[in-house]
Amino acid sequence: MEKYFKDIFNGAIALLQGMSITLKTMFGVLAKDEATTVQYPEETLDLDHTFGYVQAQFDDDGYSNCTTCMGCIRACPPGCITLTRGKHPENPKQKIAITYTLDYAKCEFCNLCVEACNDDAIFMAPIHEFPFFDRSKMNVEMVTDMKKGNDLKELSDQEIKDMEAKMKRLF
Amino acid sequence: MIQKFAESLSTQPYIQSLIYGAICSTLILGVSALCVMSLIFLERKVSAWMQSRLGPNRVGPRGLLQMIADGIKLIRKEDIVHDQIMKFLFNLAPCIAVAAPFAAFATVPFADGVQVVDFQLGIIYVFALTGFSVVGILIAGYASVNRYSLLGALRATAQMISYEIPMIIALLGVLCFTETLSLRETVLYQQTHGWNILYAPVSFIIFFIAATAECNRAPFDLVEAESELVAGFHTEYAGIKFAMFFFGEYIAMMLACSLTVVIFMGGWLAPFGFLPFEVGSILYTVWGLGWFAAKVALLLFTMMWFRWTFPRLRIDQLMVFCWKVLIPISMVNLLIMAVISALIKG
Amino acid sequence: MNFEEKLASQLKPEEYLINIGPQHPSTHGVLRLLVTLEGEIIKNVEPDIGYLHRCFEKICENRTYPMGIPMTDRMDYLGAMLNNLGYALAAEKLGEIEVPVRSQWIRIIVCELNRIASHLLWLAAFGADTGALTMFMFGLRERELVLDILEQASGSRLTYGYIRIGGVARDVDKTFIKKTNEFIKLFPAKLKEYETLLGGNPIFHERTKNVGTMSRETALSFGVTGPMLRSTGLAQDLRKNCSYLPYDQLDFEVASNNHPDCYGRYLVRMKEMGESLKIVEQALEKLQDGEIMPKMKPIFKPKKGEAYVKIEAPRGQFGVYMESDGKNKPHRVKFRAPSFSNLSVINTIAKGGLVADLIVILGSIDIVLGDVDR
Ligand code: SF4
Ligand code: SF4
Repeated sequence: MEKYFKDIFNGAIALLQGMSITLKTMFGVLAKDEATTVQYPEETLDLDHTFGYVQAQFDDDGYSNCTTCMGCIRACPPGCITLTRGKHPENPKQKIAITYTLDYAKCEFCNLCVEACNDDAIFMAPIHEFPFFDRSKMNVEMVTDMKKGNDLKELSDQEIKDMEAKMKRLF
Repeated sequence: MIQKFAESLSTQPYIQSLIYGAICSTLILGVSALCVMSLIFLERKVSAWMQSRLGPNRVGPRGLLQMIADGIKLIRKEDIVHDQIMKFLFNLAPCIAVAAPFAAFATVPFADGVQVVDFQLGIIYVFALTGFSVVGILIAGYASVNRYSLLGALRATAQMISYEIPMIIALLGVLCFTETLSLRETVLYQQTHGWNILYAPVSFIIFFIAATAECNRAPFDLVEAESELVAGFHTEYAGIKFAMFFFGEYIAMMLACSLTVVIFMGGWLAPFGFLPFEVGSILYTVWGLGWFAAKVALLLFTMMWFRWTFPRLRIDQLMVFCWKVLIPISMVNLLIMAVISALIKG
Repeated sequence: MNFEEKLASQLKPEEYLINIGPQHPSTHGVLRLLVTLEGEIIKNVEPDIGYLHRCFEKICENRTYPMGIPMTDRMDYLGAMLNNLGYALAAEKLGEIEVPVRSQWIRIIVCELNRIASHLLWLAAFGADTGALTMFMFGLRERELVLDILEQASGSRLTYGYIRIGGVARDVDKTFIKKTNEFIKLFPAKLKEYETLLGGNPIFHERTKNVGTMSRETALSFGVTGPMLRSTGLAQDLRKNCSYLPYDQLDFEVASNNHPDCYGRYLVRMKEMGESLKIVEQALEKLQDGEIMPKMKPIFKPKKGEAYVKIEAPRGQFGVYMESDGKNKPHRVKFRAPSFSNLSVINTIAKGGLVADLIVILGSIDIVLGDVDR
C-alpha cells in the first residue's frame, strides 16, 4: 500500500521534472532567443569550410594547370571525370586539358581525385549551395566555365582567387 | 438577445427555436473554427518553442496565416481512398466525430447569459455526447478496411469508455456539494462558495487527466500513435475528411478544457471574487468571457505541455493506469467527499 | 508461393497478418516486418530485408583499394567513420603499413565523436519511438554540434571518407580542437538533461523495462554484439578486448549492466556516450604534432594474403575480411555488419509482446538498414 502511493508520488515528481525541462527550453527560446533554428536562406551558419563540396579546376593565366596525366580519372571511384587533351596555345609542347567535365550526378565528393593530382590542377571549392534542377545540367564543364567566369554559381574572380589561396594552404 | 431576435421574426414557438438554434450553431461553429485554427497554430508554436525551434513563421506576419494556408491545402487536396472502403460509413464517420463534441457546446456557459440552452441535465447531456464521439472513431476504423485503422479504433473504444468512468466518479464528488446537474448553476454555486478546485483538488486532477485521455491527447494518444499505427483510425482519410477529424479532435479538446473550467475553476468568474462591473451589464459579460477564455487557454497549454514532454503509454499500461490508479483513487475521493458534504449539510 | 502468401496460409483463425514497412514511420529505413498478431499480441515477426541492397562487397572487389573507402561510408551511414576505419585497418594489415602516431590519435578522436553522434541519433529516434517527440529534437540538436566538428575535420557531415589507408585524409586544425573542447564542456550537462527528460520519466520506464528481454545465451547464439550484448552483463568491448588503436593507453570503462531489456540498452548507450567523451578528452591531450600519412607507393598493391579486422562500431562488432591476390584490387571483401546479426534476434525477443513493444524493441536494437542490407 505504501509502495503504491510512493510510486505514484515519485512518478509525479519525475514527470514534473521532465515538464520543467520543456518549460525551460520554451522560455529560453522566447525570452533569451536561444532557438537552435537557423533561418536558412536569410541566415547561414558561419562554417569554416576548409574542405568543400564542389570540385573545381585551377585556373592559371586563363589556361588550366592540368597536364592530362589521367591520375584523377584513374582514382575516381564512379568514373565521373572526362577530359580532352590539347596543346597549350603558347607553348605547344605542353599538354593541357581543353575540356574537363565532371558529372555531379555521379560524384561522391570523396576527394580522391584531388589527392591523386600532383599538379594542383583541381581542388575542392568551399561551396555548399549548388542545386541542379535538371539532370542534363549536372555535367559541368570546368575549364571553359571557369574562363568565362560564370562557373559555380557565378563566383567573382576575387572569390575564386580567395578560394585558390585557401586551398593552396591546405594541400 | 438572439432569443429576442428570433421571437421578433415569428410567432410560432418551434420556428422561433429553429431560428435560434440556427443562429447559435452558426455562431459557435464560426467561433470554434477560429479557435481551432488558432489552437493548431499555437500548438505548433508551443511545440516548437519547447523543442528549441521557432515554429511556422513564413506565411504571413509571424506565420499567422500558416493555418489558413494549411486549411486551403487540406480542402483542395485530392481525396484518395482505396476501393474496398464502405463508402457510406466512411463518409459518415468524420461527420459524427465533429458533430458530437460540437453539439456538446450547446450547454456550456461561456459567460453569464452567454449560453445556448441551460439544461437541468447539462452534465449528463455533455457526457452522453462525448461518449457518442467514440462511435465516429469506431466507424472510421471499421469502414476503412485497414488493419491499422481497426487497431486504432479498437484502442480508442477501449480507452474512451474506460476513462469515462473515473471522470464521472471524480465529478460525483463535486456534485455532492453543488447538488445540481446544470452547468450554469454549477458556476453560480462557485460564485457563492468559492471555486470547486479548492475543495476537490483530487477530483480536479483525476478529471483533468481523464479528460486528456478522453480526447486522445498524448501521453494517451494511442489511438493514432504515429510511431506504431501510422495514423491510427484515420490512416485512410485524406483531404477534407482528415481535416474534419482534426477539427473534431481539437473541438473535443476545447470542450474538455471548458468543462474543467466550468466545473472546477469557476467558469466565467474572476479569481478571488474580483468583480469590477455590475452583474448583468454588457461589460460584465465581456469580462466573464475574457476570464473564461484565459482559464481555458491555461488548461489547453497544460495539455500541450503534457504532449510535448511525455512518452506514450502502452495500451495495457493505459488500462492499468485507469483501473488500478484512477478509479480506486476517485472512489476513495468520492467516499470522503460524500462524508464531508453529509457532515456539513447535516 | 512467396514469402507473404506462405505466412498468410499458416495463419490460425484468430490471427491476422500486419505489414509494418517498408514505408512506416518507425522502421528506421526500409525494413519490412511481417507481423502475425492475435489482437495486439505478437505471435511472430518476420523481417524482410534487402530493400537497400547495393552490392557494396561486389563493388569493392571491382575497385582499387583506396576507392573502397567511400563505399564503406554508405553502409552504416551513421557510423561512417568507423566503417572507414575497419576498411582501412584491414587494408593496412594486408599491406603491412605502419600508421603514424598522430593519425592514430586523430582516428580515435573522430571515431569516438562519431560514436557519440550515432548514439545521439539513436536516442532521438528511440524517444520518438516511445512517443517523446521533444527528445527527438534535443538529440538531433546536439548531434548537429558533433557533425559540425566532424565536418571541420573531413568536409562532410555524413559520409566522411576521412580515414584513408595509411592515415587520415588531412590534418585537423586549431578550430577543430577548439570546437571539440567546447563540446566536451557542454555535453555532460546535456546528458543530464536527457536523463531527466526521458530516462527519469516513469512512463518511459514502463515502456522499456522488461520489454524485449534477451538472455545472454540468446544474444551469443544469434551473434548479437555491441550495446545489446553488453546490456546482458557481458562487458565485451573490442576497444578493450582486442585493442586495434592505442585504446589501451586510455582510461575508460566498458559500459555494461544487467538489465537485458530495452531500458538496459538505453543505459548502456547513455553511459557509452559519457565514456566516449572521456576518451576524446584524453586523446586530445595525447595529440602531438607529426606526420599523418606514412610514405607509401602511389599505387597500393598488397602481397597475396588475407586479413580479418574487427572493430567496435556503435552498433556492435564490425568485421572486414579482405583477400588479396597481389593485384591493385581486392580479390574478395566481406563485411560483417553488426546490425544484421542484431536484427536477426527480433523474432525471439519480440514474441509475446504487444505491437507497441515491437516498435520500442526495434528502436532499442538500433539498426541502420544500410548496414543490414549493404
Ligand atoms: S570527388 Fe571523388 S567521385 Fe568526385 S570526381 Fe573526385 S574522385 Fe570522382
Ligand atoms: S587534373 Fe590533375 S590528376 Fe587529373 S589529369 Fe589533370 S593533372 Fe592529372
